[in-house]
Amino acid sequence: MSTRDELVERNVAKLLARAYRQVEPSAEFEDALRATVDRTLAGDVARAEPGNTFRDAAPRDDEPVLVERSAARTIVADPTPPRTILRRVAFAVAASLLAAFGLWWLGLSGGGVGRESLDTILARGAVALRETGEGWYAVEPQDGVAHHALVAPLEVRTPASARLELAAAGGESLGVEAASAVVVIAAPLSDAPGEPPHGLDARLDGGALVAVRSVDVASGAAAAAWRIALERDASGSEVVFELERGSLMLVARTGAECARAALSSDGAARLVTAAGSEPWSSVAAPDAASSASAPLEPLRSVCAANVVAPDDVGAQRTSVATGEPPANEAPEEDVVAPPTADVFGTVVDAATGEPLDDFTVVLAPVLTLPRPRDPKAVPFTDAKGRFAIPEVLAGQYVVWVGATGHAYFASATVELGETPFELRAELEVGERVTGRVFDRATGLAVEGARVISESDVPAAMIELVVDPSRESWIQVARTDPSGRFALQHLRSTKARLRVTAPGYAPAWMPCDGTSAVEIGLSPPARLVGRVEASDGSPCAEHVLVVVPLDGSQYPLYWSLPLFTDAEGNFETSALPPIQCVVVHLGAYSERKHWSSAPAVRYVTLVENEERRADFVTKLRGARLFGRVLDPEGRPVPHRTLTLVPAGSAVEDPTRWRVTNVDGEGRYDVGGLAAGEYEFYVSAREPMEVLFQSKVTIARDAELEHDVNLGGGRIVGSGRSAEGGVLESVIWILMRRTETGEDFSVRILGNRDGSFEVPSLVDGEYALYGIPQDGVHAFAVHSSVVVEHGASVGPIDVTFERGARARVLVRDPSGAPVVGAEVRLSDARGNARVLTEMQRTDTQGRMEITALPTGRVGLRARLGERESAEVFLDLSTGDAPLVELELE
Amino acid sequence: MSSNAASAADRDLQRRLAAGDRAAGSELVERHLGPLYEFVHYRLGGDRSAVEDVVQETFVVALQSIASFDARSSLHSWLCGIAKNKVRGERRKAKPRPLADVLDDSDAEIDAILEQVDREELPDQVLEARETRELVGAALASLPLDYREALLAKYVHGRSTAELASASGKGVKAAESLLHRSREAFARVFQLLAKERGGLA
Repeated sequence: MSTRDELVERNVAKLLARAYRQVEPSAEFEDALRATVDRTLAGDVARAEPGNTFRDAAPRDDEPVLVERSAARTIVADPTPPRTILRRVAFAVAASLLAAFGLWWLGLSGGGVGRESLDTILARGAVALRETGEGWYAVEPQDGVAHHALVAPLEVRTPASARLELAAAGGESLGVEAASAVVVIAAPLSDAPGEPPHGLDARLDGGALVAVRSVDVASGAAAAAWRIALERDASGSEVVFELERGSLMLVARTGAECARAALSSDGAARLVTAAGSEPWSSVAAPDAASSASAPLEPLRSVCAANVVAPDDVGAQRTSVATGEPPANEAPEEDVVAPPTADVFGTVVDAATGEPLDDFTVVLAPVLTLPRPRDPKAVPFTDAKGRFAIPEVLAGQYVVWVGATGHAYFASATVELGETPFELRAELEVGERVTGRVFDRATGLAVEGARVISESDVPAAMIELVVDPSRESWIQVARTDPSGRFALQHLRSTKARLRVTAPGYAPAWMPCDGTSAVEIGLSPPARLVGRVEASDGSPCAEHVLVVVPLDGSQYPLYWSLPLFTDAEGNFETSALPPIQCVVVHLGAYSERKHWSSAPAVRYVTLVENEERRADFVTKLRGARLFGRVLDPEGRPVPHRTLTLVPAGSAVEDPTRWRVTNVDGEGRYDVGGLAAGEYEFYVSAREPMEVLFQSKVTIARDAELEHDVNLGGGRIVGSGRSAEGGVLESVIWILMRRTETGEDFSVRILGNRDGSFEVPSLVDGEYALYGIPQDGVHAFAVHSSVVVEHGASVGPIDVTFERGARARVLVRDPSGAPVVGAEVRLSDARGNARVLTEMQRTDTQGRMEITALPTGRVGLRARLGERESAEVFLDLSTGDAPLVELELE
Repeated sequence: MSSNAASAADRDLQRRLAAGDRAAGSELVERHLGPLYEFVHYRLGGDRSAVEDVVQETFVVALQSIASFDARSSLHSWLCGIAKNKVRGERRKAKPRPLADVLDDSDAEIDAILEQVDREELPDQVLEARETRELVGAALASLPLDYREALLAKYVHGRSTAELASASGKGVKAAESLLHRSREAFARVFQLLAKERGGLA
């Protein structure tokens, strides 16, 4: 070979080996293409003919049907227009972001809901306290930085921090276990007493049946569950749930008095008084003359309710926000061939037994978050009463079968696994429901309103205003000029109708089957807002999504995508008057780089009133992307990656950007401000973080950065000084640097007291174990060296009983400072990063337990302001009061 | 060029597709989706949904007119030819991107490159640049299938020349010769694209 050839060879080799990135089609696209090819070779598939009740026009070219991701082939391709795809993407983003924050919050705080927002948990550090009377506090989101999560709508009162403030007689502030979460499963009282509780709707409107269960987030194990009927009694007392030190409390209030009962994990109820607690049965009958006893009666009647074991409650383990897997399960790997099953069967007329030729089979998956799947409608013609749908993805479904001139047949919920499922559908002729829609204000008829029967479709999976693409299999009646409509072939005359019309709030009407239905429409709730850049210029073609918070009544499918116009304005009057979150996702053109922690506004929509939600957005921002690789260079899929502005990990978790790593180990985060970022990867759960690397990125730049996981490991265990196992310990590693210590790792210990820190980057660390029992102080193992990716340990740590301190923070004028944090230094002068969740209350007070005995330094901080450091010598039993003055 | 002519496998596939053989459809996708997708990707500036549309339409048109494939070119080239027409249609709609422009203009020239290439050793920081990656991908995507496959096998997947020879059923000398021609073609296309685009970063 000539020198020139050698040169060319070297260059080509270099270029291909180092600069070649394969561009591949997605698996979904490949599946869809295979189906198209197959269909083209085979000739057209059977289609329903025009004239069918479920369709009033000839088949359209853009008729969408649905993609099923299966190993070998799909049914048909999905030429869905961009807006509909966007809806699904927006919904999935919204649901995942809500889920991610929900898990984070629940894991650290033990849950809780502000008084006004029955369905909202607000992340700590991003809220303000507002006194609502009687010593109670409501939680208010700060503009633009609130993080929200879905939780069952229990009315529980909580301040911003992980602790609850109770207006108990002594004014004491009580703590909450950080490692517990509350899972609430509830069902309304129904006529069918054996029906197990289901779903996430825990409404406590008098008479609702509620089951409550506490779950240890670290292990996923459930403790005792309680099934309780709550009522409001004649005295006007109300009873609510609260969390206190990991125990569920029932608190009854009458006027200014309250009584509390604790429900412990063994199912017993104990009345809690200032003197301590005592078993309920030993409490004397209330003395009517004593004012302190007023709330006791309702509490007594509630506590007399059944206590049931977790298995009796019967539901699956579900985190409150979503159907995320229990905490200690490994993340799902991408399966090459997911399990599928064939669905087949016969369809006949119920009256004559004759097979039907033309019908539609709809597979409606049971709603799963955060990755919902659409119902899939498959039409059949000339079928002679038989159908087969091959290779349907495993999961839970309801199978609906409909045909011209018949009502829908709906199966029971079916669990599809790997074995074929056979169905026999007998279709009835059904009933006719007629009615009239009118304007409630004027009494005039409303023409062009759309009416569907929610009893004849998988209603929770259908958009609020039915997309025309669904009208091939959903009967949508439109009102004529006199406001009249007719729905044929319904399963029952007791259908629940949903009516939507432009310019009106959606309305629901249960039919009683007797006469024509009259439905009055009211003016809608209006939501308006504007998205502008930080220089005031309008942001056109930006996408927002409005997500309903009350999942029981208003399914997440009604999340509505909105686009801003040329002036950056958006508006909608299509929503019912509900509580919702408005999420600003970003520019449509940048949709591949949308942030996983977008700005949100919490809004309560009210009929006939307008509400605003405005957003100010940074201009484009920088982008970081790449892969997560293990020490052998292989991609690591399905982790959570957290980007943190350097040095702010401990200060301000609200600035964290959390993103998911896909099945090929890739991540992609856009919209970043310039600066230095630290990469943290998750361990078993998103809230466990392991520092990996740092990167600096310039303004609006794009930078590829592969995160190479460290290979080091530290194992060990902790026990109390008395020899017992501490089930709930948080382990933190601080990495030694020239300038001090940097936060590096946070993981949760195992229930048997052991711990393991994987994926460690080489370095010298200080290991902190922080028991969560509120009794034992944290312990430090001051130097652990990890080098060459080796495994270190086992390190045994002993936890001593701790001391308490009470802190009062004032400003120079003497006024108490609310919401300040208190930092401790240990005897070595190292700042303790462990009180980040506590804040001073409205009297400027905070109690800190489980402090190490010996000398500690305390310093208060709020934003930029700090107090001087005060040193104390603590011993067990002390609770000295320390006053700190902010400068 | 013989490397660009229809192979026996191509002709066999065409016959089976024309007869409506469903397994042949699967094979068509298996063998040709990847290279066609890359080909279209660089010509549409990486706009995923537009790329998917064009690729899907190309396959449908190809199947519908499979009888008119005359085996003078390879099946891959034939598919790329259909795709080029579709791409022109798409690009009238979308905002053009520089590399895609260059590729479109150079299509004719790519097949007729004759110049010898003298080049410097490529410095490392150039290899890391995104522009370089785009050029590499675009150049590779413009080559005949067997050149592309040979280069990927040798320099991306790390196979030895002996492995390539045994995989193709031809001798080591034939494999070396193919590699040599592939490198030359790649180098020339790459240099052309780089020059047209305004040089490497």
